[in-house]
Amino acid sequence: MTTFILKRIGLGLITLWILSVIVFFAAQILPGDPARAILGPLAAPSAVKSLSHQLGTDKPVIEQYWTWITNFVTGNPGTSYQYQAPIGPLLTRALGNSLKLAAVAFILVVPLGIIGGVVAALNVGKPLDRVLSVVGLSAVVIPEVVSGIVVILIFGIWLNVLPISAAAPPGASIGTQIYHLILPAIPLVLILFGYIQQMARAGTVEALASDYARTATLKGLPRGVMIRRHVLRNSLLPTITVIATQTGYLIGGLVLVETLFHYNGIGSLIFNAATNKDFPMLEAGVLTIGIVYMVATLIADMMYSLLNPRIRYRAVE
Amino acid sequence: MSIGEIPVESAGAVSAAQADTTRREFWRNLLHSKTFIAGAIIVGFWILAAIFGNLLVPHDPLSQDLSNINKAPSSAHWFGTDQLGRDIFSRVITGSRDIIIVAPLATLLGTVFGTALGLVMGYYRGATDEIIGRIVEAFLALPLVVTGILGVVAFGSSNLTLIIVIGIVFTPLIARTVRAAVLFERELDYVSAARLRGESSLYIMFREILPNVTAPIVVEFTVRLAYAVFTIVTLSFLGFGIQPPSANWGLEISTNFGQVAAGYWWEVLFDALAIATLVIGVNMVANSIEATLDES
Amino acid sequence: MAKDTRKLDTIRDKSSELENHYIDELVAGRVSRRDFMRKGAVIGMSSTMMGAVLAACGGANSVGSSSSSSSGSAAAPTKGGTLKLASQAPSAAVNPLTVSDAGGLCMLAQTGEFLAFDDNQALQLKPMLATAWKPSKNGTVWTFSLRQGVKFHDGSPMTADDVVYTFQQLADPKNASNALSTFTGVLKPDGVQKVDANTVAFHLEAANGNFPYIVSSDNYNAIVVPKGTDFAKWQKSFIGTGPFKLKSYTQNVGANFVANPSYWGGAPHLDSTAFTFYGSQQPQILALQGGTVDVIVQFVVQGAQSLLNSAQYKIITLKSANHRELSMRNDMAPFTDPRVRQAIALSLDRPGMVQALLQGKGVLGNDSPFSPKFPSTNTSVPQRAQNLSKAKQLLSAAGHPNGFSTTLTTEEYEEIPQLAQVISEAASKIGVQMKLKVENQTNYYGKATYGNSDWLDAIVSLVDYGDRGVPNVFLEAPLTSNGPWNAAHFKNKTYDGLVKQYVAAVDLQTQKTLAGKIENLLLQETPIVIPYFIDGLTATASTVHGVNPTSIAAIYLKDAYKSA
Repeated sequence: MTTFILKRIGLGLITLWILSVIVFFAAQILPGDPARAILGPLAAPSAVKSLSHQLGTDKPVIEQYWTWITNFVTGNPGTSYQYQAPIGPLLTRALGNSLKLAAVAFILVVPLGIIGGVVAALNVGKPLDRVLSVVGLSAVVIPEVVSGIVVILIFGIWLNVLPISAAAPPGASIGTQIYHLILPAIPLVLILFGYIQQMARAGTVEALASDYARTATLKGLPRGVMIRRHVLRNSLLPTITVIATQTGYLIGGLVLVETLFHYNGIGSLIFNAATNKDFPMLEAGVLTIGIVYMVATLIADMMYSLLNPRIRYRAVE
Repeated sequence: MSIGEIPVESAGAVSAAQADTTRREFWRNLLHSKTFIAGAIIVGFWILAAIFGNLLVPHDPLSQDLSNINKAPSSAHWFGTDQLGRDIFSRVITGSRDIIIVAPLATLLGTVFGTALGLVMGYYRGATDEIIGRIVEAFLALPLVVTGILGVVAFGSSNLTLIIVIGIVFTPLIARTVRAAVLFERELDYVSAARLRGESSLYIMFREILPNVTAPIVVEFTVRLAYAVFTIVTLSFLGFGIQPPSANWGLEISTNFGQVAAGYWWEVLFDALAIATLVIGVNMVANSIEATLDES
Repeated sequence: MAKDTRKLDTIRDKSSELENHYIDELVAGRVSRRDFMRKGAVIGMSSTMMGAVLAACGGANSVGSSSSSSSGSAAAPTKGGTLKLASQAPSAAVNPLTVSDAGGLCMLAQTGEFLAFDDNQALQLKPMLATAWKPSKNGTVWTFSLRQGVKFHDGSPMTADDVVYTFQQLADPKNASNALSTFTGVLKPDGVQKVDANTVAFHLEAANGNFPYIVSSDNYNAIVVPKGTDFAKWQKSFIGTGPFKLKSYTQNVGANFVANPSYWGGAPHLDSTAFTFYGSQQPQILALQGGTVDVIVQFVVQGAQSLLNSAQYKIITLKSANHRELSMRNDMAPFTDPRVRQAIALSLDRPGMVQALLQGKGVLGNDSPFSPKFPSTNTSVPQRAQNLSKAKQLLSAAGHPNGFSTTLTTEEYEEIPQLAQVISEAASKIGVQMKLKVENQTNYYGKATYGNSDWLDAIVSLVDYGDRGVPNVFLEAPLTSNGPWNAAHFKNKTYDGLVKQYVAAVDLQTQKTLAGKIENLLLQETPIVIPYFIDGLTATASTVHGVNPTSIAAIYLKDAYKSA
């Protein structure tokens, strides 16, 4: 197990390095330059030149990359070109915001998905099962723009019961913050619901058909108790695996929801950094998402192999 | 990709006659699927709207009327008018055109590249697999926005950009699926037989293995198609898409979203619903194809 | 006008030649009272003196009482409280040298102050950190007397050394100074000289009749900072001389300021102000509607119709020179022919555009940068109106009876994509097919130099220009033969000469005459089309009073307060 994890971490580091190289070369073809982005299009050329020199963006690109990566591996993500401020706090705040939103989405979707799956499994083949499947499978492909706009109109504008801006006023309590995150979480919930519901359904169907379930029923254990004791436990774990694999999407795919609901998360941070050619910020943001994505996948794989000894450690990539 | 075009000498693979039967059975089952029929009708409607929409709509979707802007739905304008007084109903009906063109082409591009990569990775395994695998993994961790921005810069803001960007986004995903299928196939006898015959690796990959992994590729293609629509809409909303004044659902939402606070809900709602119907339609088709393939 | 000649003569005795020239112009009726006030202030006449002149000329004296241009209320101001404002997030570091965006300049103006203050509306440039200023006879040296007893937020006194340091840094070509685009050709670092502890002289490279504007709030980078300030680190302290001091500033989140009790102009009414930063407009509107904020510093009409149509909010409308400029490559067919350019200009329904795109919150443009808000604008030049038949005639005469096809390249910014579509539709009415290419701003501006920028290279280009106190920049950079932003590639020696004279002219009558010539020349040649000038809009809750926004999106809160 340890060697497996170490190997995975090693491979993950190589992937991250490749990612940083991709972003680095990609950033070179982005338009404009950071100094121009800061000073605006109407700035004098001499001012742009001088700011480029201060920022170090007039140095050869390889040198910029070298400076950046040597700092990065020693734990210093550097200074944002755009804000002339350390990246650490900016990134932490954005990541924190994104995690809050993801957490609210998970808190809503996990029970819903599991209940939906179990209910569907208990009604296999019946209309309710089919309705749940169709809803789940359709919701997965509905773009967040669409679901976002529909919930904004219904809950934010017509019923006026939920705020349509994800950011709570400064200094707001946790409760208020969550209140502001409910509407933005709904599009994410819709997308994740289908995955979790299908997984929970399959797990439950399998568990219900298993020997111990039949034995338990024969022993006269009430159905409710049987489901709670045996079925849920056995169907939950694969569901968690799905959840872990979706974390990458949740952290990386948030830019749209953040734009729609005006939220300062890591998605908009990257978007901003890319449009302003803020190379250190872009690298830090992309790598952070990469790390989250890889850690989540690793956890998912570990759980998967723990649960399913037959394919132990033959990592699913 | 040539489904069913299997050379006679490929021992171990299903014979041509058998393949034909399977194919007929597949189509019969598919056409009996209510989900497929419903999905196909929805998708068919939008394809027809994209081609003939201009002839059917009550107003010219591009014609402005500055004295009649931001008007709520009425009998004259069923879905109301937009910021420039254009008829939203006409714009929604014709707004599918870019998506209908871009989505299949982008998915096809991703499928072709993804299949090629997946074949190479799965067939060679070892170092090739590891190296490409790392790069594929890195691309998978790259947020869509970054890929989107890069695409727009490299190729300019256009349909072609969208096709290429989405193709790039899909390539690693499809490669991963194809690789898994190839890993299984390459251990089978017919592959060893071909190797013993002294066939080249290219021949084995594309003439022997590929025909036997078409099922997962077809499934992947149809499933990705719905995501292609998803991605086009997302990128258009973020400003990496089609140029005005051409009507396009994602762009419409992007331009008019700011109007929601002013209460002009009709300027975004109908476009959003249109997108929803199209993705659900495509998804129904994809799901029924997958289910039918699983059966047969 | 009943003139008190004796009083006037007494004033004349004490006045400089230039001041007397203005008094003469006023007496002769060649300069209106409003223009007299405005121009008098530029050349440094005190309000008392101008008041005396006006009084001597008859009529009421209405000088110096307009401390807040808006939401004036007769009731006594409520003391204390926090004013919450929604503002555009600064797009980069808040560095006085480099700031170039609305969010950033609004931050600078919270704690920083300028030598002179231009709220872009009042009759005159007002003293701020300078109490008076005077040009030399030919307008090449301007001497500023500094206000005494002003202290920076760290307690140190503000002196001539600080002013000299500030402007030397701003004007130094070696610095990454955004003000360089204004100072180039006007002021070099060694031109800033200390006369004594409270007097600074600016020795200009060429005569400039509007120089005080360049050191006023109009040049938003020019806040006076203590000598030796490291500009890159300024955002940690926000040290200035203003009525508010920094409490906290968080990138992308917001900023908090507290009242400066030792402010030279007296402590402000409010205890503190709290800015929340937003990336777009919609949430700002919702925040105001939901009561989370009291003020939206600046907004555009799109999506804000609900505010404009509601009695619950006060909308402060400021006349502005903020405009859109459609340039046609004068050196590329078919736009080499002025008749083709005129035809495009004549195809536009300007009143319809102002109504539809700006909800009427703007004024018609006449294809020259002379906004009606500038005193020097010559309003006798006739306004261009839509005339499709004449446009078609001109096209035929130019050899395009069936029109032609071209591409309009523009940026994604405010209402510009919509404007581009309206222009394209208008052009199609005279047979010109204009394809659109709407780019994000980074792609559109590119490197902002010829050959590396869609903005400057495209055959037809549509760009935005923000507000300025004087039209000089608009007249020079985008239109003169060697101007750096000449997207129209317009090269006209007569025009260059007229602009040079206009910039050097110190007295208003000369400026007005030259403005008329420039306006007519631009109508004749039509290198550019300016369809409208956009009003600056600020929204506040009805309980907010005394906020003083400017049309460049700064806001001054010294006199602001909230009633219960």
